[in-house]
Amino acid sequence: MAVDLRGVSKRYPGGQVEALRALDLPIGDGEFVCLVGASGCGKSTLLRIVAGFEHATSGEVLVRGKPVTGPGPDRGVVFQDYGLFPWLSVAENVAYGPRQRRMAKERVAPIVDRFLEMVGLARFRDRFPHELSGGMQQRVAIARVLANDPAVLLMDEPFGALDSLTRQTLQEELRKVWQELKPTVILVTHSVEEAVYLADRVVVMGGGPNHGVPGHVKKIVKVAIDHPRDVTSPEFNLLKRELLDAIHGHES
Amino acid sequence: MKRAFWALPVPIAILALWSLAVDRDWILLLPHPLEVFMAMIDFTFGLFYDDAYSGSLVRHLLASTGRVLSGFGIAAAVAIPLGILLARYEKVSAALEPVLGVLRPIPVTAWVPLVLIIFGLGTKSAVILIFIGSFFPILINTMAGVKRVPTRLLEAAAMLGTSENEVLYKVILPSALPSIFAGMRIALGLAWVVVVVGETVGVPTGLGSVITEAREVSRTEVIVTGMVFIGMAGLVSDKLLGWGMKRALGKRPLLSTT
Repeated sequence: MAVDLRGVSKRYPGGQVEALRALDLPIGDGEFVCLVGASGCGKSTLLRIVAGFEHATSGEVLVRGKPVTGPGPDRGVVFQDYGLFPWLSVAENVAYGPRQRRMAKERVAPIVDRFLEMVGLARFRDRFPHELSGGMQQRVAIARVLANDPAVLLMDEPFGALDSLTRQTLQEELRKVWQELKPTVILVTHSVEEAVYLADRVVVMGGGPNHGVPGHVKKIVKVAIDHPRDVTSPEFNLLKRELLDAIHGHES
Repeated sequence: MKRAFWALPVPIAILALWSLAVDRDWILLLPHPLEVFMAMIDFTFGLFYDDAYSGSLVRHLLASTGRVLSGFGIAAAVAIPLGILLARYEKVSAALEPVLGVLRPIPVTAWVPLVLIIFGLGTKSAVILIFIGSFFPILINTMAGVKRVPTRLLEAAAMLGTSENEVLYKVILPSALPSIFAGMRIALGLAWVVVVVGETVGVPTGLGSVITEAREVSRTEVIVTGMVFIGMAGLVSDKLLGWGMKRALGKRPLLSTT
């Protein structure tokens, strides 16, 4: 099992409502899981706990059987605002992780080439992040975590800041990368369509401070449609409807 | 070239108004621009007068520059690491902030009497005063820069496997660099102010001592000459610092400070 969430609860100091309560979620190796839910349901908090940026008040997170105690290179995070180092070139950003692990330069170079090629940015290797569009910067960020060969890829609304055309392109590219490398992915999104397009399983979360109940898993929906998925097909839209109902509907 | 064209009229107008003011006796004892010009040449090359000031520019300039660089250099060497510690470690800041808070508002000029009594007239006092004057701009800006390091970049570094120690070199310093540079620039400008203050109180060399001694013998053209060279020295050192920073960075973009 790639990631195992066991009874994860989160309460902020002084907070009236728990952000998350007793959340269990096992995620298999190579599985693509999307977290959806209304604002404040704790889906980003959950992702940040898996990343190790925040700590669960109780319960534990296991990644490949080892409990998470802080951030680490086994969990690559892709942020909505990219988080690239502005003073490093595209290639240097991608090389950062492997170099941090003291990998020799000669061994890093082919890794950088491979992942820049994969995200279609080989020609831009010597540019700096600010010279690239948002979509290109996010591709660099994805290549940067892939170069670290993480056990799990954590993506926090990775395409949320992009225009809809770029967003669609990147969704498709991410799908291809995932099919090629089969990493375990947890992706938080506001877009149900994005979730149904990419995920093996969509986890609908509910609750949160606005609802007076802690964030929790409302429903888990398996998406058994072959890739590439046709967003206009009836089965796709039936699933979308089911998920939207689950997000907005009352607790059952 | 267009810029050079626009740069000319104001200095010419100032010189014209200045000579007019002297010719018409609007301001008594003000030296004529031509007198100053001659004095500048003589001060630099020693061609005309053969007095105490002739050809002494290099000696005085080197003395002042040496003091500026020592005081400024020591200040940077102490203030940058201290600023990083203060910004990163709550306990260091809790321990030192009260003392620094009281010391910071004391102007350099208020330090002069005490420093002179303890260290006497001379280069040592001048360097210490420059150190005091340069210290706080660098310290404050370093702290501000380190505190403003984007959380996102620290998170990115952490999830890519950067250790606590390395994060200083990999993320914090590069992020804080624009702010540190800004502080150094302000400090270097102040260092030139302070060196003149230091040298007016009884050091026999340096541009500040030149203008102080010239006052005693009423050589106004020498005073103005000294002032012009102090201005030029400050300008040149500021440009050199900016150029050196650019050179050190190559074409690497820094974190924008907006």
